[in-house]
Amino acid sequence: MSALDRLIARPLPRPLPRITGVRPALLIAFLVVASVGLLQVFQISNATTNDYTLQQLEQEQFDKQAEVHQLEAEVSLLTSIDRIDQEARGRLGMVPATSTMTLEVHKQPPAEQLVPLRFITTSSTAKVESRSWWQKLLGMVPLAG
Amino acid sequence: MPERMARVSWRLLLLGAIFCALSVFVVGRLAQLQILSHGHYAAEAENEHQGTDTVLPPRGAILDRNGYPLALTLDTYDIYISRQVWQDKQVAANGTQALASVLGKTPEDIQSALGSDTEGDALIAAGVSYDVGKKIIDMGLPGVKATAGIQRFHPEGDLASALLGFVGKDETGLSGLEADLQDELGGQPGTVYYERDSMGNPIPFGYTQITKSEPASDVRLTIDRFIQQAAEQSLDEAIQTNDASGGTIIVMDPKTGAIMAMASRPSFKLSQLDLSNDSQEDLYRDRAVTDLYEPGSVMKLVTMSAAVDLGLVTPDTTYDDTGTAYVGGYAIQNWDFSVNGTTTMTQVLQKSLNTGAVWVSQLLGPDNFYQYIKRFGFGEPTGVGLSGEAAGQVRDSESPDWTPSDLATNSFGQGINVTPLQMITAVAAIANGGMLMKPYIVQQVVGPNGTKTTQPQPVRQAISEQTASTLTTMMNAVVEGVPGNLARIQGYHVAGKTGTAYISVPGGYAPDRVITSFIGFAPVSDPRMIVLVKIDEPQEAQLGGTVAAPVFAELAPKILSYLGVPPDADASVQGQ
Repeated sequence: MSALDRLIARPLPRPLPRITGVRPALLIAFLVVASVGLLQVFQISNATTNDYTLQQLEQEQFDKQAEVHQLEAEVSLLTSIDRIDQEARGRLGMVPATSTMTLEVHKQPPAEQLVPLRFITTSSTAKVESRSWWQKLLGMVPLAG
Repeated sequence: MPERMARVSWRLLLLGAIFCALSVFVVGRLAQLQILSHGHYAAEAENEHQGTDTVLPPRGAILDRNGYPLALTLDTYDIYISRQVWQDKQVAANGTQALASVLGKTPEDIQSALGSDTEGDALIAAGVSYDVGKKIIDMGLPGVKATAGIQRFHPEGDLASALLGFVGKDETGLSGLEADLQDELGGQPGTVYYERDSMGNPIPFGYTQITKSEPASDVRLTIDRFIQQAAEQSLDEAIQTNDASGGTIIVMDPKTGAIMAMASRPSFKLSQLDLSNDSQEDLYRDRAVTDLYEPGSVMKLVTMSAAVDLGLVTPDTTYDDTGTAYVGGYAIQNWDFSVNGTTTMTQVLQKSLNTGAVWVSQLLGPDNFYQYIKRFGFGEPTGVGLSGEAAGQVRDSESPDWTPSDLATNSFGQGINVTPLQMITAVAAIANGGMLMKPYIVQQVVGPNGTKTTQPQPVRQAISEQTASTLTTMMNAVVEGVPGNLARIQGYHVAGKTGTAYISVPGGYAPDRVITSFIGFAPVSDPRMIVLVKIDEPQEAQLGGTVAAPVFAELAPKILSYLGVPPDADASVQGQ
């Protein structure tokens, strides 16, 4: 009987405590606010980093542009008439012509490109059309019309 | 107890009233500042915290007809020192040493540039190269600022100085093509609005608003750098040889009006520009379009063209040259006082006879003569697009002070004022089948929105093709029909005319001061170039045939050879 009593008297498992009250709500609210705050901080940090990168790239572009201008000036100086004259006289030992002889040569002169490409007008530069692979493929397929 | 509470002290009431009044005053003042004057103070705050910078696009390049740059832009820096920051002796000492070594100056130069002021920024070095400027920025010296700028660079040195012109410190063109084409070469500036601190420096990552600048355009001229240099060299040599005061050489394509070279002296040098020197101001203008002169016997070409075009004379028409022509009470003699008897119209040009020109002008009459003067473009600007271009002075029969003697003198180029460009443009019409072309100097403007190309623009048919052909033959006879003519060149048939004109002074003409000139084009069969040579006040010799013609003979073969013009197969004349 006492064993049966013990069996009967064994207490039932206690149910889990329900989450109620002020403290848990505050914790959830704090987590939400913190997340929002962190998100904002993250975005600002990201924007700042991008802004900084952008400024660096702009400065780099400015530097490259200045370098291009400098190189254009150097090319122009190297192809100037005075320098050509100096090189012809000094290095090549040439002298001004004293007489002129005219010969007709029926051959195309070599293509000249002694100036920076930027100064060659678009009409004189050959445009090369580049097609993507799918355009080339489409070109192979005979289309009606 | 209630009785005590009912009696409130008058002192307490007074204190309360004062407190209330003060409160009302403070609130009212706050309301005035923050509500009523809100706009004013907000604007002041914005002004204090907002900075604005103008961003100039890189200036466009000026190129010759083949694309060789004549004027380029280099990026530079101007170095400033904050006097306030450099009041710290240690900072100043370190900075001076560092800057001196980078800039290649002595520490004393740096210190002297600071001056005696204690406020503001001092300019230490202007136009420092980009690399050096970047080095200084990277050094991070306290109180040292670098302001970006540009500098114009001329790879061909002083070539075409008056034509190209120069820019000022604000990167705006001040003279020549730099000024005339400011809109094309300068682009459109942009602006940057930014938040700044109390020292005026941009706040990193602060509010920034950028309006992008419009890129500038490059300008390609009709000028050929080789022909321009050849013209300038020939002009300088001629001025020195003849001890002249100046001159002009213009080279043009007669079929299009494209100007291949335009050189004038005296002029300034781009490499020695000193804007603070007022005496140089006179040198900045392009004399080929601004200065007037009496062309002399070259004008006989216009007189003869008019008469031939109207069918009044032919090259073989004769008149009796007695050595003197009497018009309006004046006696007009030949330049050499010669008496030639029966003389053809071709001989009038060959011997440059004033009496012959007068005889032709009498045939024409004032109406016809001045009609052709206008048809050849005299009396109005050519429209070449260069600032300061003069219209010339033509006193025709409708002018109140005109007299018949004006017709006579105008017929041989005295008493009429033209610019060198007008003169060569007129004669170019003869070389171009009678069609007067508008001269131009800008061939293309290459910009972000595309390329604009100038097309040759015919103005009017000044004379018929037949007349032009007849005059060309007569002009060829001037060069090749006269033994010893100094304008002849080997291998090419040339058509040309000399001119010698006295310089007008108050009350008449100076007997010992002349302007000599020669205009010629070649080859006669298919003119590819026309050249005007004008030498002012030569001292050694004083005739167009001996001063200006040899310059043409020296210059023209170089140009024809450079242009790849094959010689005339039947040209057997020997060059001088």
